[in-house]
Amino acid sequence: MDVRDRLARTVLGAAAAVASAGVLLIALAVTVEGWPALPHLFGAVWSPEDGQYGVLPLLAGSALVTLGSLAMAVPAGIGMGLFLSDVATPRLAAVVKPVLQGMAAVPSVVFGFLGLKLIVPWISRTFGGLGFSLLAGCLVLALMVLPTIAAVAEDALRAVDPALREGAYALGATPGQVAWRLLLPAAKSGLTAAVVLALGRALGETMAVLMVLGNAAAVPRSPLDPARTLTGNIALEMAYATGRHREALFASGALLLLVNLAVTQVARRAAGGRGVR
Amino acid sequence: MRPLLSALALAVSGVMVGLVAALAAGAAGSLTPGFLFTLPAAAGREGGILSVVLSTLWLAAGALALALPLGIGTALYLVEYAPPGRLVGLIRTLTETLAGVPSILFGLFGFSVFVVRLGWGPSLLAGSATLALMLLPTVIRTSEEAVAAVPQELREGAAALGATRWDAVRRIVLPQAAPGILTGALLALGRAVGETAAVLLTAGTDLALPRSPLDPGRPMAVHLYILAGEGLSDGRAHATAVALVCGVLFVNALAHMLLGGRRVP
Amino acid sequence: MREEKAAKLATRGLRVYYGGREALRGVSLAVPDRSVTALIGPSGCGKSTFLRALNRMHDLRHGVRVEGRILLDGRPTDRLPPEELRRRIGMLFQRPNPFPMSIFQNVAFGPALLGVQGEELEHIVRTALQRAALWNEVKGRLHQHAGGLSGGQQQRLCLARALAMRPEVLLLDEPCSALDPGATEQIEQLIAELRETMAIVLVTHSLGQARRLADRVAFFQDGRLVEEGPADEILERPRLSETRRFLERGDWHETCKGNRGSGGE
Repeated sequence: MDVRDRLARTVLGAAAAVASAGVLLIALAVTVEGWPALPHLFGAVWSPEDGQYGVLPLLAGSALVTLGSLAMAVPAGIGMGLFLSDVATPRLAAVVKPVLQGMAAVPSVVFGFLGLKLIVPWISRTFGGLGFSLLAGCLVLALMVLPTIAAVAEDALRAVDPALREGAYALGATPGQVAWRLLLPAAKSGLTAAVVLALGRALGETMAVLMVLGNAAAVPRSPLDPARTLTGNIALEMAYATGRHREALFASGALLLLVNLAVTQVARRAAGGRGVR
Repeated sequence: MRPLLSALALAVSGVMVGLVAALAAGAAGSLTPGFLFTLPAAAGREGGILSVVLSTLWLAAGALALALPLGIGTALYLVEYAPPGRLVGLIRTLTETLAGVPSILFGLFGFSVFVVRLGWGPSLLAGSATLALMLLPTVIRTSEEAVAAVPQELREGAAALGATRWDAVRRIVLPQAAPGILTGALLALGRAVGETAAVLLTAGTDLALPRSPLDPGRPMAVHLYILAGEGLSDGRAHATAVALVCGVLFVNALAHMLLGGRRVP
Repeated sequence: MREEKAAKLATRGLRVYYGGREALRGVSLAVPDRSVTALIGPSGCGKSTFLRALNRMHDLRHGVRVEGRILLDGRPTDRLPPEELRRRIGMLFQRPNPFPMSIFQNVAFGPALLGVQGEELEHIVRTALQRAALWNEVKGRLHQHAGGLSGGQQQRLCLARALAMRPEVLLLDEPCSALDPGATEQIEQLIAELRETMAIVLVTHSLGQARRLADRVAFFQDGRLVEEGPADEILERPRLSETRRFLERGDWHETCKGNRGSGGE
């Protein structure tokens, strides 16, 4: 091999090595920085002033806001995907799709801002209280992941052979029956992939949820209670944390990474190992 | 089923459009051209967002300057130079995993390594380096697709003329893959401009105009977060949000046009 | 008109437009009960278009317009809900299209739409598979995925699936074109048996098949019905020169002049 080629291979290989090392370095950094505080994370109260660093309320916050948002976004997103693949005329789809694509591009802090200005006051007016709540977080997060679910779901549904649709219609099925009994089951692995993708995004989301969730590091007892996620906690307290507090935040970051990787791995396997782009 | 789904589509689209309209309405009066070119005063309660806009541009430029060479280089390695076998799969798995890491963790990493251990302090440099790491998977994914799409016949033609692999890459593959790579760069740019959490922990929050890469800076996304959280100057917050959204949508629209309708990777 | 009254299925001035293009020009044809009517003609000349109009499959596409009347048992079909029409008129497609489900679920799909379950459903599935001469081959593996069947078996499965609805009319769109000669023979035998109980409309590219099965033959060209009548008359002693020329040519797979590459549409 030519000298220049060997040089190129080395340089490019180095680039690849750096890129590959990225995730490992992140894992290393958060674990090393947080190691001393790791045992302290096993607790039910997060109160740094009192030296308490139990992450249970934060895990609960993350889990609840994620599940709550998916409960809304998954049916709506799959419904949108179905709309785009089987109901909309090409012209209508050409109008709706850019709206979804645009929303997928809007930064999360803007969603948080809109949630703050519109959703929080609405909840306060309708249900009482301050409005900063688990419900607000779920609504904002649902709006954020819906476009992603819709896009992947649409792809998965379009991939179902049109000949199968014809066969079902030819037997006298209504559009609803075709969708429910044929399309959704046939597109199952793609749809699961959509949910997995949304799950990963929801778990990792920080800013938007932080801005509307209220500031209570306690397990919420109702959707109207405030809460705090693991991610939001780090963003909120990192600025002024020192010593053991800071170590605890890093340790919670390590835990977050672990949970995120585990959840997406398990869910990806459930989706049949299909690579999602 | 059809009426139900149509109603759903109408509702969702309506909500989306309504949110944008509310944003624009709140910014009315505050978003003037002067707003973008005036320095902020009184902790953002008065004046414009010039320093914020410039910090945004510096951070993004720095992030791309780091992420593009690394990302394109990785893509080229994967397609042109990597030995066949498990190595390619390993590299891909690692970079794909990087794509799924929550952004706040990049912030923690950047804080620990760039801000503290390397001693850069909260700075544009630390922020750019952190962002670059976040953008890597996007750049690698789109660049790899673009490079792999270059037909094999072209490479073979070059080889038959006595060119080295590097010659072929430089003169044929990269030019051919340029539109796809550019698309990836634009998508990365959009993400860089919109990112908040990672930057919050690494670039500081100082509102002053940064004069060197080691100065802290506050980009638009962080500025919006701070204005919103402290309830300072509603009109300016809306205006910042609108400017941010317009910038991101513009960049993404450019990327989509370049893609010519193919699915965003 | 008298023929129309006695016919199981009849069309009057049927026209189909794909966008602005008239693909089927004013076809009036009567299909008697308990017989096989074969549609012959060059590819892309309206045979499949005509067939699909009969069970309103064109409704599923945007931009297709159907005009004229279709009468089932003398009554216009546009008054019926399309789902009911398609229960009474079954269809088999060129390429077998079994659903990605078990053999049982495929055949049960239609009846299950109407809420049939349990023993009654099992009985219907068994009967349909027997009528399609598939029961013995699959009775031990009803819950296996349909994809594991051979091409000929899959087409018989699709036939069983259609028969499970007990249709009064069966539309067959070149059902053997994707099958080997052995499987073709099996399907032809089934068609001959089914003729005793229902009206069958068969689009075919095989002169031999038309000779073997058809009671009546209709020749289509350029989207028009050129001539039709009892099978031996049309095939041996056609009245019009166009028909004679087509039959003599022997190459029944040549494409219609006006509609290239539309695959029978």
